[in-house]
Amino acid sequence: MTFWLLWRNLRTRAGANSLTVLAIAVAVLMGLVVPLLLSSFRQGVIQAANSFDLLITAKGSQSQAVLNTIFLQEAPLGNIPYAILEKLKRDPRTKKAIPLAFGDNYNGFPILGTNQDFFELRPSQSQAVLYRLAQGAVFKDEFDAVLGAQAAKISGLKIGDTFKSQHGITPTFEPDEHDDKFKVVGILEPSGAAGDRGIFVPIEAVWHLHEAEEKEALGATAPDQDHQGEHSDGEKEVTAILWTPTRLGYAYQLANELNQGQVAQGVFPGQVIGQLFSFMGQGQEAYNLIIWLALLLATLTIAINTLSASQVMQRNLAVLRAIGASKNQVVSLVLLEALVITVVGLLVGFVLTYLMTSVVQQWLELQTALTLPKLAPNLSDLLRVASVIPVALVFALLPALWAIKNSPLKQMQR
Amino acid sequence: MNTDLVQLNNAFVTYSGEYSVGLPDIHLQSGQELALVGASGSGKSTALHALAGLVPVRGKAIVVGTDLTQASNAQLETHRRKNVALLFQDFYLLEGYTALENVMAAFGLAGQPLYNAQKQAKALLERVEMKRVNATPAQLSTGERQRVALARALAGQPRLILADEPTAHLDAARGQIALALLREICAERQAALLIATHDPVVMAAIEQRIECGTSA
Repeated sequence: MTFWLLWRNLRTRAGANSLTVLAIAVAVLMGLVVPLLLSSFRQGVIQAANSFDLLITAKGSQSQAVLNTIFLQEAPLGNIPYAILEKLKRDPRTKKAIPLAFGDNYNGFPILGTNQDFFELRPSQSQAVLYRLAQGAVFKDEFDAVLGAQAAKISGLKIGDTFKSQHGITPTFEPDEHDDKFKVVGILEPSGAAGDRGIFVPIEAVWHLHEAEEKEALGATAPDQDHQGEHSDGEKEVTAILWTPTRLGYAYQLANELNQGQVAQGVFPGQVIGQLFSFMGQGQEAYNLIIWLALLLATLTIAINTLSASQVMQRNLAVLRAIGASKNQVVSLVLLEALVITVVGLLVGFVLTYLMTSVVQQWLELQTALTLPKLAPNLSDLLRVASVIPVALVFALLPALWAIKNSPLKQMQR
Repeated sequence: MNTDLVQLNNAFVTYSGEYSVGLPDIHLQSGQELALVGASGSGKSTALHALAGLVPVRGKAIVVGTDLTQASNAQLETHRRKNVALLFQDFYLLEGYTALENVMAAFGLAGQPLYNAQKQAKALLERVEMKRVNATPAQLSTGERQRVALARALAGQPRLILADEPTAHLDAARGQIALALLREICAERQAALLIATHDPVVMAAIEQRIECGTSA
């Protein structure tokens, strides 16, 4: 009978109860969604950054270097001479030195000039290669292109299709297309790294296109087809070099050497990302305060709902007492009502959190091409949110005690 | 042996320990009817509330075997649930509950399982000729609300029915119908009926009367 009465009471004040449920749900959403997204984003970024020991770029902002090279965001810092790559290839400390050249895009997907070693990158020695072919093959000819999974999916390009690259790293209303066409020869599996948004071409193709462009800008005639690719190493440039040493200590050694010079810098992506997260960590502390405030708001909503409902609820409780309901039944009824509203609010909040996290994760994945792990709230998050329950029950005790302490006659006659 | 269902002697109700309202001496047996008459404020309703165990009472007050002066809270709750039914002047139906649910609640509190409660509530509402069982109190007329209140009062098979001004909100014709129904059901169940009233029609109908407000 108590549960039937409970259901009837909840239905009687369906409007106010629904609003309370919504308020609790929104508070839970606010309390859980950002920590989950931050955690998910952090894991995605760490996974992406782990693939690179040392990044060599032009002098400038290290954050910009990492954002550009690893996450394919922001503009490149500038170029460094190709000679540095050649020198590193001969350096006994080098295990792998992979060039990257940026500058063009295709409908917003950045085109990266690189070499075949890029497809051998591993997040760590024990892990599988980062970029695996789903279809086709790695590029061989100068105007072959391999598409990242997301670039292929969204652009609709398939094996055998051709496309013209557009100048610049971002699309424009009137794209300045290069004359040469790239041919899609391979499509990568989703990797969870930013490269999923990339289009990979031989670095020679990038040099070729920009050499022609520079000559055109200078008023020179188009390069003789027979002499393409004959530019000297002294003129060639790369945007960045992904460098893997034979021993980790060499990375610090090389970074020091580069940083003392005037041309290039060595950037440790892990360190830069660590600094970024440290900065974000301070933001999270501020957000924790907002979370608690949100939960406080939810608690106050419960309190207001419970206490303001008194007019109808107290009268009905008094009537129930007058027709024989025991004090225990009345107290149980009030507490159960608060419990149900709170628990339903929390559950709706969890569902909203799941939906919101999924939507925002998908959006972030589209923006960054990172694969963000799907995370469930951890125990401390759940406990934090569940702390609303006892507080709600304490608030509910007030009208419950009021209902049993006072004469039902007085309550009914109010 | 003819045991009184209600034995009220030298009883009084004290409010906040400051002032008291004397109650009339009452002796009532099963199946009997009694009218408490008197002007407004003479203590008629207070007497009914006292007999229902809703206000603390002193003196001698034994109602359906429960000594109201000694009863614990739990005993008073049982008393209200099983022994007596109070038909309030203002009905005091459960807001937001339908007519059927109002009566079901009373059956449920009396210990009936939900299915039985529903079945019996329907039967009782039919007995009091209440048709709009799915309407809430706000949607009912005064007469309908009174019938629902009557059905609810009868749900626990009470042996004593206390009716506070049962015709107060009704016109003369409807008042007579309501009174007839109340008396008929009490007679069927052999329940004692105690009516607080200042309605001459009711006073004329009930043979046994006690004037309130004549003792202190």
